[in-house]
Parts: sequence; C-alpha cells; structure tokens
Amino acid sequence: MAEKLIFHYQARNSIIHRIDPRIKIIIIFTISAAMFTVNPLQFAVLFGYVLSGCLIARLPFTRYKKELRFFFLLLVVIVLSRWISSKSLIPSLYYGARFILVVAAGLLLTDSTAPEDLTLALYWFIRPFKFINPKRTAIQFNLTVSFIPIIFDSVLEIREARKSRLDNTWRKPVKRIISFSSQIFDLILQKAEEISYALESRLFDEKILHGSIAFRKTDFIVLILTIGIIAGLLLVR
Amino acid sequence: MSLLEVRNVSYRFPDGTYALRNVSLQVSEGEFIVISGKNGSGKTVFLRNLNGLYTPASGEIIINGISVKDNPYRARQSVGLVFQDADSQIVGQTASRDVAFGLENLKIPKAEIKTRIRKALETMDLEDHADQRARTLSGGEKRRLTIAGVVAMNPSIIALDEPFTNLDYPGVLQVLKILVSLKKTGHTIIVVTHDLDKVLAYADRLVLFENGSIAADNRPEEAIHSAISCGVRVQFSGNKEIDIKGMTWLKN
Repeated sequence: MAEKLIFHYQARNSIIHRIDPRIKIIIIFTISAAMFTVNPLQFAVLFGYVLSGCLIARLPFTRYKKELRFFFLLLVVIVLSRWISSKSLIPSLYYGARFILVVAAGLLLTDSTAPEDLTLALYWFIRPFKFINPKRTAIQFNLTVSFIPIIFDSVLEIREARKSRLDNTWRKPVKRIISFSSQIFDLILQKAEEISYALESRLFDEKILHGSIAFRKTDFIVLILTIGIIAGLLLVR
Repeated sequence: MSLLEVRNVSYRFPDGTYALRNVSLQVSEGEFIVISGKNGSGKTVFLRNLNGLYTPASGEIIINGISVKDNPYRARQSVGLVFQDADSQIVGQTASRDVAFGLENLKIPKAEIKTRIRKALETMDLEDHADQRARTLSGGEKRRLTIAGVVAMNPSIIALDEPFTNLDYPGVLQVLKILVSLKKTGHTIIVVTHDLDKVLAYADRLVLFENGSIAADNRPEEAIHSAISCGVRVQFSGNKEIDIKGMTWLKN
C-alpha cells in the first residue's frame, strides 16, 4: 500500500529527484508566490513548467487516481463557490487552475524528495532560529512523516477488517465513527510503541540527523533557469 | 567465559504479572540457539531484556563482561535485535538508508558507513534494491533488510524474533540461507521461533520456555522431547523418531 500513497516519496533516478531539496523548496515557493502576480497566459507557462517537472520526475498519476478524487472534489467546491459568489466562469476556472498548480507543485516536491532529505533541508532553513530547537523540530518532522504510511496502512487494515464483518457505513454513524477511531488509535499506539523500541534497539539518537545533502552545479542551473523564467514573465507584463 | 550470561532474571509487566521468572542462560561465542515455547511464554520479553529495552525486576544480564542494566547502550551495540514485525523496524526510506540508520547512530565515519552498507546488502542479496523504497520490498526482502540493518552494526549476538512469521516459502528459504551463512561466518545467533521444523537442524542448543521459565535447555536431540509438553509442534517420522538434521526447509 505504501507505494501508492500520494504526497509520499517515490524513489526514482530522475534529474528532479537529484535536485537538492533546498533548491526544490525555494523553487516551489517562488512559483507559488509568482502564481498570484501573473496573468493567465503567463500562468499557463508556469503551469507547463511545473507539469514538465512532474513528467520528468515520472510521477505515477495513474496510480494516484483514487487519492486524487479528494482533490478533484475540493477543486469542484473551489470553482463552484467562486462561480456562485462572482457569477463569472472564467475567473472561477482560473482559481481552480491555481489550486491544481499548488497540488502539482506539492506533489513534485514530496514525491521526488526523500523525507530524510526534506528533514535536512528543513533543518537548514530553520537553523538560525535557535529558540525553536531546530534539530529537534527537524527530527520530529522526519519521524512524523515516516509514520504516515503506517497510519494509512493501519486505517486501511481496520476498515477492511470491519467491512469483511459487514460493518455498515450508514447504521449508527456516530457510534461507528467513535468505535472506528478508538480502534485506529489503539493500533497506532501499539505500532508507535513497537517503532520506538525498534528505534531504541538501533541506538536512536535524537541529536543525529540522518543522511546528508550537498549543493551541486546542476542545482544552481535549475534555480537560475526557474528564476530567469519567472523574472522574464514578470518583466514582459 | 560466556559471551552472554543471564543470571536469575525475572521481569514483571506494569500490571504486576511475571513474564519471566528466574531465567538463567549462558551463551558462548559462535553458538546457534533456538528458543521456542508457546505464545506468552516469555520469549520476546526475554530478547527485549537482552537488548536493554526492558529492565529486569531482578537478576542480571552480562554481555561481554558488561551489565546490561549498567550500560544499555553497550547492550544494544552487542545484541542486534531483529523484530517480529519488519515494518516496525524499517525507518529509512530506501534500503541503503535504512541500513545506514544504526551505523549513523554509532557515529561511524561516512566512508566506513558506505562500505558496511554495501557489504550488508550484498550479504543479504539486496544490492539491487539499495535505492528502492524500503516499504515497497516484498515480505522476505523486508525481513532480510532488517537483518542487514542489524548485521551492519556488527553486534556480538544477533537475536531474531520469529524471523519466519508472515513469510512465504521462498521468503523462509531466503532467511534460512542467511542464518546458515551467518552461522558459518562465526556469528552468535539466537532465534526465537515456533517453527522448529524450519531451523532446528542448525541449532547447537534448543531452549524451551514455559510460563516465563526455562523448561528445557539442552542439545536439540535431548530438549526436543520436552517440546510438545511446552506447546511446540514437533513432527515425528514414521517410526516415531525425531530427525533433527532433517528439521530444515533447506534441502540440498
């Protein structure tokens, strides 16, 4: 199941995967900020740029079909609510397109970057802010991200086990939600305990950040290219 | 001197029930020990005491001359524990990063870490999966990865908790081959399992647990006769003899 999770690292050997995570974060933030200042035509260029990134990274969109349904639903809500309030279709669709770009950019970052690398990048960015204990914050982020697939798997396992025993979705929904949640909570606690023992047995040290990241020439080329495109778009307004 | 010495160890759960009662055991270097017993007999708790994850209520565990209670960090260096649930043990996003986890905690130089990762993955026949996402490996591969993560840390003792659980036939064979090769290279191995017919052929000793105590600790040929009374299944041949050497799934 873990390999099908959306917004989760997909190990591949593409140029996007090899880009330093710090550069990726800077690029994603720059594109997201620029998105709100460009006109629709310029937006299309940005959209194409991010989409090319997704294609180069070979993100498995077909495998994400099920998970993307939720985002599709959100998209419909965004476009509809905008359309109802503004009564004009094109700006509403433009809002929807912005939402798609944000989701695609997020996917590009999370699916092409190992959580350990994201952790190291996060640490690099927050290192100057000593008052938030940067190392501890980064390690907690890494542990949380690593734990997400286990939570998903637990939820699926419980859901299927209940289904197999004819658990009815619509009968006594409140009671059902409470029972389902407590079951998930129990299982997650159990797994968390096992994981903490496993970490301890392999000498887990909260002062050690695992892995390493280093800038390479290609990282700066990609950064300059992106900033060049955005600056060009803004200049030709 | 024994590599591992367990002296009258008792362990109590927070609710007061005893999981281990006056357990004593000695393990010499290079020994291959199979521990068996029915569910709840204290096998897993025993392994976790060896690793310093649980602290005994009384008694003492000495590894390489050092008390586990006094120095649990050294205990975890000395006893590599492979958990029953491989998914709980995998912390790295890729196979090689998972192996690196323990090595980085040991603060080993980076060049040495790389060498050890390569060697451990080669030993476990996982070198082609080095950059694969660990959670997408098959059950057998995951189990081998957890063993690789432990072997790379170079512990004095490798303790495996139910290493055959949830594995298909090829997965069992893969893990067995690794155990045999680890034994050949002189590793001290403790395997906790219900499946004596898969692995007992390689054991130097069989230890049977019953209600938190050791009911038998002897050469497999001797101890096997107590297995059924301890709730462990034993397969007899046609003439009611027990063929210890045949108790393996690896047939040459």
